Amino acid sequence: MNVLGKKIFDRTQDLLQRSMDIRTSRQRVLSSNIANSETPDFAPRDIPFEKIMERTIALQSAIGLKRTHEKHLPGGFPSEIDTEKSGEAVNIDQEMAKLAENNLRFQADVQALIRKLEGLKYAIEGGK
Amino acid sequence: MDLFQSMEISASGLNAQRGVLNAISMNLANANSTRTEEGGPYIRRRAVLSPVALPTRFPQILTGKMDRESPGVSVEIEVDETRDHEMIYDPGHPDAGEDGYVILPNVNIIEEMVNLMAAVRCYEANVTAFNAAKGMVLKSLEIGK
Repeated sequence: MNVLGKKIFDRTQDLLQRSMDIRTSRQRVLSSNIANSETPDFAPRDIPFEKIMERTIALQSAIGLKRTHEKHLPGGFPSEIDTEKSGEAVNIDQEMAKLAENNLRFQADVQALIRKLEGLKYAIEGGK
Repeated sequence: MDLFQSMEISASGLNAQRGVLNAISMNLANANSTRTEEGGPYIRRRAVLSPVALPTRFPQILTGKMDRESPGVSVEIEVDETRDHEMIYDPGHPDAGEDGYVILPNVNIIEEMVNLMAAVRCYEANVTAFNAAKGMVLKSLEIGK
């Protein structure tokens, strides 16, 4: 994205996008835990949202990497979202609670992004 | 896309719980069957669940490793001979042995009913997870409207 692009779409959009990415991955992992809630010897997994988000923010606020050679890989967020073991056996209540929370927070992210774009549109149209 | 994969995982959960329900229905329907084609009384069926990596799509293959960490679930129905058969004394019964005892299926109806309730709850949990994923997809379609 060029300088102008960076100004129109600020880092909030990037963070929201990243947050939604993590939340969709987390939805997948939680679905898997629920599907396997009766499977013997199945260890549930989870995605530590806060940890990944912290890392993202730290990366973002670090001085932006400049590409000094066109063949260098671009800097940015690590695309990998790691999962970790979250217990010895699936606790269905806990998983359902996590699922609901994850779902609502995703909706909140989407809503925030929609508002952000609405503001942009308002400005583009000259406040009509 | 992760959300569609999430829906596939929930679908595999629904399928597995339906398999469990099938096994339970078979056991309940045959709780008193003292004669089978193979001879002898009916033997209880048991559903065995195991995690299974779902068939991958290209993006998942590209990102690798994702599937092992969030497997779906598969079900197999096998014969459960680990339980003892109950016997009742009924010399007039056509399937009674020479000593007058009839061997009953090794099905415990109370146990089956409890398993049935657990399977139904599990099925519902998977439906909820599926609907959550669907809701997320629909919500994200509103971006930029």
